[in-house]
Amino acid sequence: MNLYRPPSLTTRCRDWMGQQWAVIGGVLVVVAIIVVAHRSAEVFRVTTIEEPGWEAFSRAHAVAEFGDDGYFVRAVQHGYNLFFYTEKYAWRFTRKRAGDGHNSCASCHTVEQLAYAFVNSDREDPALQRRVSFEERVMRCYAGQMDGFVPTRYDPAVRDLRILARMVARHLNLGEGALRDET
Amino acid sequence: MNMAINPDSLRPVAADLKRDLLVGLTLAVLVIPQAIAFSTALAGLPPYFGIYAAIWGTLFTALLNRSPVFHGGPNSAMSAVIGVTLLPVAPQFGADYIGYALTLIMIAGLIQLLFFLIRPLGRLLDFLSEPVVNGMICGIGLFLIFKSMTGFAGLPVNTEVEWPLWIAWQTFMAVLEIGNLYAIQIGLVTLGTILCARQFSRLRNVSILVGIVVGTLYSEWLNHRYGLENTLVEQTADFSSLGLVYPSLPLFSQEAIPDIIAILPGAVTLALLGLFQTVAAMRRINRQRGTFIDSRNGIFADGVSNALLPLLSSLPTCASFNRMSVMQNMGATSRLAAISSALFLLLMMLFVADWIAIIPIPAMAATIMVVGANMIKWDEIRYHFNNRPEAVVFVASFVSVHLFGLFGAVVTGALLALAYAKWEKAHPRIQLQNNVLRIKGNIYYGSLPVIEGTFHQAARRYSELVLDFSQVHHIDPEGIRWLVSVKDLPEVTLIDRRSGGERRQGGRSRRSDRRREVCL
Amino acid sequence: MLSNLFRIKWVRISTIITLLAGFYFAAVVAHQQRAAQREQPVLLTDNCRAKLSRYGLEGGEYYRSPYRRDPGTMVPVRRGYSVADIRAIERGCVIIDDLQGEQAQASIERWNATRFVRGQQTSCDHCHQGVGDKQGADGRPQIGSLSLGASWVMADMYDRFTGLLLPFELRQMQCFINSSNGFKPNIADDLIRDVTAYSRFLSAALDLRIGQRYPEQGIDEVTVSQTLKRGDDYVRGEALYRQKCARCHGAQGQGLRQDGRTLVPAVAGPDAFNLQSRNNFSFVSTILPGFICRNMPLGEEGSLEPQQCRDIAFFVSNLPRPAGDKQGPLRAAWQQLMMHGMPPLVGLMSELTHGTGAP
Repeated sequence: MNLYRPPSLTTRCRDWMGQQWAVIGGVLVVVAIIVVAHRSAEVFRVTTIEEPGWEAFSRAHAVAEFGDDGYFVRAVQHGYNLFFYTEKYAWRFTRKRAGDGHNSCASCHTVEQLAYAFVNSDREDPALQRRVSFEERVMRCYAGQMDGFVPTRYDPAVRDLRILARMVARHLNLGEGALRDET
Repeated sequence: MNMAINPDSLRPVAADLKRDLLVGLTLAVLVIPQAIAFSTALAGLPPYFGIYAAIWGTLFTALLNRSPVFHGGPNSAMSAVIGVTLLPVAPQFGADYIGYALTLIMIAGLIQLLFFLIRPLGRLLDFLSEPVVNGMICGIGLFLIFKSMTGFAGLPVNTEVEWPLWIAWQTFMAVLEIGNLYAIQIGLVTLGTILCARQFSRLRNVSILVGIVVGTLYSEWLNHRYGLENTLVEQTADFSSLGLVYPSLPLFSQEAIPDIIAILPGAVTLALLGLFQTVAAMRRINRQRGTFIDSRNGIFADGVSNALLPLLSSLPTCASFNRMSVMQNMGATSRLAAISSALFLLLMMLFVADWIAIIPIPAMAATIMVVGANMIKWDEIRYHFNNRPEAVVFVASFVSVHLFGLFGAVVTGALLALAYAKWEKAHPRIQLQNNVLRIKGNIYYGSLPVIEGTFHQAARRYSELVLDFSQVHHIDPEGIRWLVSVKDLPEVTLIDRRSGGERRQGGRSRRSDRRREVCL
Repeated sequence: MLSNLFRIKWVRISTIITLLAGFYFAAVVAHQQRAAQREQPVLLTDNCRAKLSRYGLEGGEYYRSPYRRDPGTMVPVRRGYSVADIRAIERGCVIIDDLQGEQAQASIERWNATRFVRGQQTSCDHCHQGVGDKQGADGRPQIGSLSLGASWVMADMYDRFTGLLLPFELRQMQCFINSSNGFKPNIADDLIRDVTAYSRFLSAALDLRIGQRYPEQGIDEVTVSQTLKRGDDYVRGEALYRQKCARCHGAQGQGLRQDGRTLVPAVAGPDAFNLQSRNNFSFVSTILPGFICRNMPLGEEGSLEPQQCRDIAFFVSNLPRPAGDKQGPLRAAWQQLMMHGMPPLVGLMSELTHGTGAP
């Protein structure tokens, strides 16, 4: 008598599941962790968020001349966000939080001042006795006034402020070394 | 059912449990500096990427991989690939860059899954011989040392192109001439501390940690004395506002497509470098423990983890040689060690984030230099120079990292591995003793020219030549066709003979394709 | 003996500390040398002396350029320059005029710029003529003259070649890598910063405004609509090259050097710009023709028709030249073979067929 019977499909399936339960369980746990994480916390996305005031700012400074989107305008918009909402957009480089005083660039400066600082940068600073670039000024601001950390020179936290300053300088029709009281 | 539990029988289990938890705690502490250094100094990503890789990457691979002493997490070579691939695409640390990095990691994970699903592809990884892998690891180690020189001196990383080895002296001169002297001081203090601590056997395992602590204290003293805005030393910067997890979505948009296509070779490199190390580590662990766990487990675990980790702001994961050897040395017994290391780190995130923020980047760069130097292990390389083909393969693999870049090195490594395997097979040992030609090896299209050459030479010399095929283990169709064409020559006769064993036993001679003799 | 000594722990530790301290000492010495060079008065070249004195570069609280863009208008008063600023501008100017340091006494006067350049010929002012500010006979900036000042005010814009918002420093680095067929200096290097200072000064002197597009920026490209639409032709280009260019640039475009000075720069061969340079697009070229039409042949500028410029540029682009740094070692080796193998071969062939030494 032949005792061997080929296993049915369900048995084979169950056997396979029995062997692989650890792996299937592992995958399920991993997926569950990710789903729960995405449900419970703020998600990082590569988009430029439109903060209040951007609409008016971009109209006042004729940013639309460069278009509505595209790399340059997005950098300007990010620069705007950094300038007015520093604690939210440069959180890595400042210990200031939403409730603190003087927690953004706009607490001390205006964008016009930023533009004038830009066209007057790369000059010798009498106090420091060396030539200081615009990027270094921004880095010093993060380290000092913002009670934070030094970003690298290429970090968009620095670069986009420079691009914002360029944009505003263009709007004010500034040239290299322009003085404030220039008519 | 009532079960009486004997407390004595539980004692070994409890001891194992305790040891695994201790191993987990040690690894959680050891991985922190590596995680931060790899993400900031090599990958150009914020430090939380490395930390989350050490948490979630380790946890996921531990859940999916059956190997008891497998430890995933951030990896230096993979981080360097991310940095090198994305430099031309977007400015480092920015949102765009992060998005592209997540995309890159996800594509790499999917490629790794392909290696799992297509069995022959995964089998291909087994061809990576030790000289190929060691050559690449040594090459990458040297690459890391030069790559970290700018961070060491607080200089901005030049974007655009990768820095080849032969103009590294220019970076060195830049460090001397225009480096930030405060940064150089911090880097040298860290490097000196690490190197000195390594001289003491007790501090050897924690030397990097000691170095970073000393470097950070020195940097804090400098900042206290001169002010951070004057020293301008970059630090790993704040991430205390992040919680236990920072979910993220990779960048897949229409306008990003050209850039994503441009980074595909980088994704392949990333996937392969991860798998190389995982497969090699699993192979090594199998041999050390005397067990066998199929490396497909590792490929599957890595593929799934890397495809999903970009959803949690994490660097890619692969096996870590140094952490796995720590596990092995401390006697970890189960996957609990890896899982607990991830959970301990998750707990630590709540308390140490503020302290991590002030670690200076030059100190991180100094640790990368030590990590790079540690990848060049003379004790393991030495044996490759005893055998000429191995030495050639090793040197070629080492040089290709610097000549062709990491992608080129991966391709070269794979080709070398295949060529090495084929070369061995294509050269059967052929001996001519009097008029007997003995062939040991395979008769196939690659080895036929070698065999034919000797055959015709010998045939010219002897009027009666005996070919001994008793040590041929494989004849491919082309080989059979050759034998047939030889048989068709008028002066050749093909005779089946019984094997020696069969002759002694007086057995039948029908199944005698093991031994053939061609008589001329 | 020595290896026995290194078995002692304290010997090893003191060796490590000595080496690291030695490194720090070397760094301090190199930094001091740089700082001393920054304090040195700058030895100006003739072109730079003329250029800077024409624009009235002097110290003081205010700066007013004597330049008039339009008659009747004055350049507004700008912030003045300190002594250190002036030295940076002067150094930038001499770097543009004499990158190779042919008129310098020591290599450090050009911040060792030759370290970042292959060959002895390339210099910034070969393309950025008139020390980065070329002007026509009427005293107005020449259209499409690669003006550095106009380039500075348009920096940080989207760059179609790299896909980046390209900072001014990175643009300079591309020049070093591709047009000078060299290596990139670090952007924190004085070499880059001084050229930026000079470019910014030019934009102040010429009263250029941030973010405005000026005709002197970049190249006045020769598009196909300006040509006879006969296609770019290598054979026509070669004939024209022999007729108009070979007299100075040489039959194979290798340039002319005499007494350690480059009289005519190479347009092909090991000393020329490389394959990755924007000058060089071997299929459809609009940039190099633009440069040729505006600036060549010397003394007869503007005598060439757009179609002729396209043909010459097409021929020049297809002469052998070094490979770019992104093109890999195999391409580089191939180009080396072409550069060093082809000219003698072509010379030999033409001698055999025409009986003359040069083709």
